Amino acid sequence: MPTIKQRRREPAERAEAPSTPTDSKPAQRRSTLRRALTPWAFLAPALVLFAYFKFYPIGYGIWLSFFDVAVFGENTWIGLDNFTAVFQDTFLQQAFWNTAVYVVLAVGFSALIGFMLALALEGQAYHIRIVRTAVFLPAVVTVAVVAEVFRILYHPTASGPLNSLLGLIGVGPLGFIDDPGMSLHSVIGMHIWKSAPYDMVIFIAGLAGVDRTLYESARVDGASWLQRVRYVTIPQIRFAFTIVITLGIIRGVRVFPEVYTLTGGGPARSSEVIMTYVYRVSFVDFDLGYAAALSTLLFLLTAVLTAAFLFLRREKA
Amino acid sequence: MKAQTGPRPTSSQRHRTLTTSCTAVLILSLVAACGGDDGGGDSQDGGGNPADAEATDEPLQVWVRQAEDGGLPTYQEMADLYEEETGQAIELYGEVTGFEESLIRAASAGNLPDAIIYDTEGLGQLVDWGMVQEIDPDVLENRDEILDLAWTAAQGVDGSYYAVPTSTQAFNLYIRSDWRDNLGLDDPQTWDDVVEIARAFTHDDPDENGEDDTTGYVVPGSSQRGYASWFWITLLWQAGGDYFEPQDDGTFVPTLDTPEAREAMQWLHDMVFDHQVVQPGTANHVTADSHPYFQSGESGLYHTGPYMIAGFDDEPGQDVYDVIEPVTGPAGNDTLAEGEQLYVMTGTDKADQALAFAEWVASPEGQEAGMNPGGYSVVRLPINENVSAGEVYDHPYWDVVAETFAESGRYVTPVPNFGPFRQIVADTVNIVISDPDADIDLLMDDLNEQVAAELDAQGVLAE
Repeated sequence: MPTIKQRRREPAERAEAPSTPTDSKPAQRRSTLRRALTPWAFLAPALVLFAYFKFYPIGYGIWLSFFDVAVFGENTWIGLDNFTAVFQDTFLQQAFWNTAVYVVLAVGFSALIGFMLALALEGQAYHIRIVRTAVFLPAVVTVAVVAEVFRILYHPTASGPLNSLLGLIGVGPLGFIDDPGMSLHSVIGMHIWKSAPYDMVIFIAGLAGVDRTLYESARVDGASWLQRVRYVTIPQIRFAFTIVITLGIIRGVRVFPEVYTLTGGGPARSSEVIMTYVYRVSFVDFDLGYAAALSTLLFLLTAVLTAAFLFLRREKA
Repeated sequence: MKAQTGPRPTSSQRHRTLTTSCTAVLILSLVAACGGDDGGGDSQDGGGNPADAEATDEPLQVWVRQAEDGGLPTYQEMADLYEEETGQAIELYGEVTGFEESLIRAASAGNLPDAIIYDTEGLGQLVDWGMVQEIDPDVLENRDEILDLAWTAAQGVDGSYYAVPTSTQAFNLYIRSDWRDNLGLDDPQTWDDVVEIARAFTHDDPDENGEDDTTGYVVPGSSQRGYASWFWITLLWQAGGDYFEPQDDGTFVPTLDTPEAREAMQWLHDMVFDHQVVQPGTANHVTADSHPYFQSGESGLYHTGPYMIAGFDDEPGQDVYDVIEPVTGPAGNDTLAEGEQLYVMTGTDKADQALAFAEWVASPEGQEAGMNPGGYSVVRLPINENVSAGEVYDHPYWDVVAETFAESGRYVTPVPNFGPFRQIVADTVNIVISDPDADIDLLMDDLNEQVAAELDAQGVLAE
């Protein structure tokens, strides 16, 4: 199979054929150069904006992590001090474990529920499309609005909407975001509600590509519904799982608005995750150098986790 | 929407449009890149005579910690009035919760405004950052008209002045008078009275609607921005405690492990868990989440600031609530006083114009404009001795606030930078009001150590 480069070269090679030997070389060189530069010229505006608004701030953030940053004035080079301070920071350790719990539960349950929804709502029938659109709505609602709704749902008295329902089965009233023992899980609950539909869409796209004859063969072989899901569907949409979990890890590790808008990391830091802690270090403690170091480490953590997951997937495949 | 009509653009027209767009984007990027460094003018010491300051063609940039739905329109009216009188235009920018973040962003981009009107408590932080200029109060013609107590909040721990007072206020207890009367109760005088009334408001159906839908006492208990400690400090003072005790040599001894401090913390803990009279969800509530409990008739006692009077007059209504003197705790009835002041920022070339504006805001005319009777007041209590709150507002509650400020108002103890202490203490208060089994002795010992460490970091821990 020709590579992209080879394919791109083909028309140019064809165009050369009628040229005379005398003028062919400079003209060919100009033509090749122009062809090489054209895509970059089109990309240039976006690249300039990306460089200025993304790559430069990222690089500058990493650079700042080696300084004691003065909010106003000269920064002081302190080498790796900001990074070594991480190991003595008990608040960060708590935030780290909270984040780990968050990622595992939020990503796991979102994927599971998303997958189940996808199985239930796969198909082109009109009524399924309506239900699917309704189910997908949480994914497009802004987090701040969702958080306000969940604040009401989670109201920690017997008259709160969720507590009223739980009261019917003799449970509660629960504190939800007001209870340090439940606040993190309550935020995770909101995250799952919002993420599962998003995952569902990716799974549905994956399911659409599964060869129907495999199901028929499995059925002929006497496979039950569960066995068909286990031995046909899941292996066939491995790619969708990889995408959902990779994106989930990236989103989960750097989760911020869900926690900040619902609990602000409280009460008693019980729902503090790494990003809300970075925010606190930056804009409450104003220790910008340390916050930059934490952000750098978070960036590395995300990259390593994602790479490790993709590597494991590939090994398994 | 009306659909766009007309011929479709030709290929060459599209090409030109694309080229123009790309060029515009590139230019905008470059302009943005160049524009970041234009604010680093020479520092002025703010020592000129503001009376001599001539209006500049460029507007004076002033940032205020107010929002569009709060005091920003009042500041805009003041700015317009000032421009009318002096010819000096003022360009205002207002923000509330993200104010400090925006200030830091502006500082790192070299684009600080010329002046800010900001909390008295933030003085140490701003001085520590080097963001504000020292000023000479004597250059103000109305220096002596400004209350001495207000001037003390404009001083850093080094004794120098870094701001011009513009407003002050004290915190009072706000009570649902109709509930009180329905239950045949009197205004609370002591902590015990507060407990008794809060219990009655919670359990005795004060609004007489036959439902168990009220609570007694509002507490903004979130640790965000230090709200929890900002509320608790009044209780601490009333119990006879403080965060630290100043020594003669300018150092401080941390005092949050004292019996007084423990008692204040225990009292708040009991209000939440033993008496169960505090609004549900308090541990996550900032003030914006707390006000509605009083306004909507879900809670009946609230220790808060007079900036809420206009809002409370609308809802729940002036006829159903009273503003009363702060209650007396084991050691007294001190209550938090704080204010706002105008800071002249480092690097501005309009220091004289900024001071001239400050002088006007501190004048009777500026103060009355800022008090904005009937609207949102950005000058709560006047800092000019020639202005009477009672006369300007013509509202009985403001008289109570003015009396409270004079008799019981207390600013936080000045340290190099108060901000970190507010946050450290708020974190502990937040733990105490969210954990029914909180070990208060242990927490207070730990808190005291944290305060000592911060004092040490600021170089003022007593040996």
